[in-house]
Amino acid sequence: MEFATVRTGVRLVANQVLPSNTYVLASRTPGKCMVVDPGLDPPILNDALGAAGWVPEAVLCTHGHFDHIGGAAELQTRYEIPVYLCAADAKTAKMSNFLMAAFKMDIRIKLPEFEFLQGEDPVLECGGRSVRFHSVPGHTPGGAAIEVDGLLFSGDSLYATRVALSRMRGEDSPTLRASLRRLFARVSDDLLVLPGHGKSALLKDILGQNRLLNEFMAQSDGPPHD
Amino acid sequence: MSSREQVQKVIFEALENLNHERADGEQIEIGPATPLFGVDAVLNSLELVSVMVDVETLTADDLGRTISVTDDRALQRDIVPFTNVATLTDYILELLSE
Repeated sequence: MEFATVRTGVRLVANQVLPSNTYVLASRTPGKCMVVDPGLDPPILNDALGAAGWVPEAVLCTHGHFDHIGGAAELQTRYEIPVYLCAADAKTAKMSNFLMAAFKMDIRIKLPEFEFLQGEDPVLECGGRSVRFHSVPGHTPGGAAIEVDGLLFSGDSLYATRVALSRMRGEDSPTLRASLRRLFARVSDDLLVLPGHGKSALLKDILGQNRLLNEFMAQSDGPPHD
Repeated sequence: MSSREQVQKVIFEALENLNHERADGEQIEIGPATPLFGVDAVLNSLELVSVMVDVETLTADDLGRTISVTDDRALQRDIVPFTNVATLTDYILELLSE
């Protein structure tokens, strides 16, 4: 089991079925926590929560891809807690089992009853903390970078050492580029970025050292369409 | 009510879109029996996702109906609806009849 401390009050669970990062963030209430992007390994997460003695009070999802919501239904059932996702990713979430079938994965997931967040940059009061879902469409239509107390859970929209794009239909490079430009203009570069895959890093270090990201951000999108 | 021909035209158009992205020697032979999913599939994973997204979009654009062929209802069928063009046509007709 991997349950590493990233920073005081923040722990990382490394999913194994399909490698991805699930984060557990301590709430203001002792013994309570929020889970960010529960992946496809609920047993690992449950063991980790049990070992830490932390009880989830909410699930926050950066986007609706199956490797970021796969464990949400089990947490919701076990703890009777809300699962938050931006509304624009409802369709993405509903495609989860189709996508896993398409990619020849044998496992299937159960979807939770989402609390869909409406509008741009919605803010929640959760776990005694203010949680802002910065809208970053591009990787998915309803992708978000979730900012909480100096942390930025960036899902698959921003990585430390590469660019967050695959060749999946629905991904939109110009939209992601515009989203990231807007995000970088709105947040402090002292934030610790905690991505959905790979290592964490301070935003200022990512901006200074991620060559692939800088090349991506420098690309021209051409004239706007009518 | 949409006809089988109308639905099949939508699926063929989605597959033609895919052929535009493929090399000359890798064109998919499009017809009712074209296998989309499973051991005989002529589409890779990303292509299957693309075609299904196109089918949903074209159904909305051309037939004026919003459907989902990629949700859990589709996967719970004994025969997965996107096995081939014919099974997908049947499934879409069923959705459109509701």
